Parts: sequence; C-alpha cells; structure tokens
Amino acid sequence: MSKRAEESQRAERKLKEKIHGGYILESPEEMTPGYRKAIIVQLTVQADTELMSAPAYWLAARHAPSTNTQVSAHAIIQDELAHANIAYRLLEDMGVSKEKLVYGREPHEFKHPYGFDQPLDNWAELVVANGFFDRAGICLLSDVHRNTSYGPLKRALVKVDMEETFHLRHGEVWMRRLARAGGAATELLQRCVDWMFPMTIEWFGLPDDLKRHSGQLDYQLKGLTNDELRQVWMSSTVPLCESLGLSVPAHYDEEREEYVLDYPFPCQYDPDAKRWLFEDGDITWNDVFQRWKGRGPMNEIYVESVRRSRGTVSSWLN
Amino acid sequence: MSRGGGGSAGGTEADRRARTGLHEGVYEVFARKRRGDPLRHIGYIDAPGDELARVYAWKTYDEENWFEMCVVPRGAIIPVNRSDGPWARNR
Repeated sequence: MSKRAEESQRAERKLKEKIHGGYILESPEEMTPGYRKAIIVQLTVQADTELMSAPAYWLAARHAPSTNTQVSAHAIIQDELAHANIAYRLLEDMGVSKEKLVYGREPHEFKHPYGFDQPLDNWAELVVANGFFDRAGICLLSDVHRNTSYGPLKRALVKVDMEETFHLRHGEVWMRRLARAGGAATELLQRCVDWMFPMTIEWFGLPDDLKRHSGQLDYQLKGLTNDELRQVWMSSTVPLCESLGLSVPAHYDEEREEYVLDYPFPCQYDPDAKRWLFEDGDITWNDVFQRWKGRGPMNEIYVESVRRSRGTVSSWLN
Repeated sequence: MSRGGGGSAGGTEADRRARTGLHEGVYEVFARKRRGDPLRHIGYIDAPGDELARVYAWKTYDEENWFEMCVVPRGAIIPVNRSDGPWARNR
C-alpha cells in the first residue's frame, strides 16, 4: 500500500473512532472522503425520495373526496417538497449542485425507491401510501435523527419528523374510515394493502446477511440495519392492519420473537397489474436491482412534472 | 456567487445576473416559538431576493406557529471564531 493510501486509511479510522466517542461533525470541511461519499449517497436518496413523493401524491390528490381532504392532501405535498429542498440544500453545502441533481439528471438516475415510480390511482391508494410509505420514511429518518453524526442534518430532521408523523396520522385515520365502511371501500383498501405492503418491505433493501459493507453505519449516519428497520416498520404496520381486519402477508413469530414474511421474498412484481407474483417463488436480489434500475411506469412522468417549465420560465427571465 | 440576498445592490454583470433569472442565494432562517424564547437557527432556504426569501421561509418552516421569524442572507453572517462551515466562506 502506498504511503498516501495508508495515511488516508488512518484518517478514516481516526474519524470513525472519534464519531463512536460521540463526536458530531458541524461542517463539510471536517469530513474525510469516505464520510463525504457516504453522506452524499444517503442525502441524495433522502432528497430524491421526498421530491418524487410529491408528484405521486399530487396526481393522486385529484381523487380527494372533499375540499377539506384536498387541503390535507396538498399540505402533505407541500411538506414533502420542503423536505426535499432542505436535503438538497444540505448537499449544496457539501459542494453538490442542486441544479444538477434536480434538473441535470435523466429520470432513471434519481435514487428514490421503486414504490414512488408507481401510479396512485385512487383515494385509498393515497391514504395507504401515507400509512405505509410515510411510515417507512419515519422509520428511516427518525433513526437517522437519533443517530446521525452530522449536526446540520440532525437539526434539519426535527421539522421533517414532526411533519411525517402528521402524514402517517392522516393515512391511519383514513385507512380506519375505509375499513369501517365495509363493502367496496374495504375491498379496495385490501387491494391497496396487497401491493403496497410488499412494496414497502422491499424498500428497506438488501437483508443484512447479503448487505455489502456500508459506510452509513461505520460513520454513524444511521443506527439500525436494513433488517432491523424492516422489523420496526412491521411492528407497527402489521398490528394496525390486523386491528382493521385487513390481511397482510406477515405475522409475528413468538419463538423467533420477530415478524416473518408469509411469501417468497424477494419476489417479482407486475407493475401493470399491480400484483406481486408470489406463485412464481423467490427471485435473486440481482433480479430486484434489475427491476429497480429499469424504473417503474410513472418515473418519467413524475420527474418531468416537477421540472417541465424550468427552461421556459428561465428563458423569460434572463 | 454563493452570497445570499439577490436584493443587495451590486453593479457587476454577475450581480445583475444574480438578481434575474432563476438564480437563488442562500438565506438562513431564524425563529422563536414563544415570547421569552431565544431566537433559534431553524434552517435555510434558497431565494432570488429578500421578498421571496420571506415568503419561502414562512411557507417552508410552517411546522410551528412561530411568534417571530426572520431571514438573513448567508453572506451577511460574519463568523467570529470558526474557520470552517458555510458561514466561514464569507471571510
């Protein structure tokens, strides 16, 4: 190993030790290249996810059944855009251009989860998205909030956590209303759960035994592993669905003291039919990455809907 | 130009461009929840000028019913004792 490589390894090791002793970084100048790379990946995923949730929710908000629900649906969209803005701003302070990230990438290059490439076609799908996807957001971000070693991000997440909790409540209250209604409403709700439950499970990514080494835990950019976060999500989602009389493909295993899935995981998804192909058995994570890479049916539409007028308005002003 | 505040005057070509188009500068946002609370740094927004900075800050940081909120162009903050971080780039 060259002397330079040794020195940089030593610097990374030293920073990790400091962080595990409780050290909080306050500026990009304090970051080592390894830390910087890991936090840029984390924040890009966070920002892109918040940004792409906005058009997904926005198109679905047309199905709001009253002016009141229009207001709450749009309030959620407004929050998501603000969260995206805040995450991109943190990136900009690290020298990453928000302009390039938002306007300079191809739609398939965004880093949001596959779930936000799917159409939300009715009011039930929107509120289950709030109940499931926003809960996944809370699981992930509240863990970052508790554990991150980057001070500016920790402070930014106070607002984000507070607002995501409101989105989740919106989802839960409406899921309860639809579940109580019975008949067509409950059937529709069950269909949403059928495709969105496995979608969120997959969102948490590779299981721990397959996970490639990630800097995010070493640099304490988060505290829990993918499998632990999946368990946290299920520990509130499964009881909620059971209490509403909805069936979910997972149950609590008393012996193992954890939630277990009742379907082959991971498995293939048919985006047109909005259906998981449980009957075809499990697939490899490479197959999953292939599907994610190909992006889902709404990817280009969502990306274009948040930036379609940029060029025109810009040309009027300059 | 990273200096926030398209509203501040400047005569160069870069300054002119910074005040038009979609160029945005950074503003730091400060707020307090109640009377008697300290004014706290709560975040930042990008805006093309002071007026829109006020609007964006109020609309972005609406998680509380703030007693007082103000925005400061990042470029106006002069660090006293630190030589790193975004504010130090103003020196």
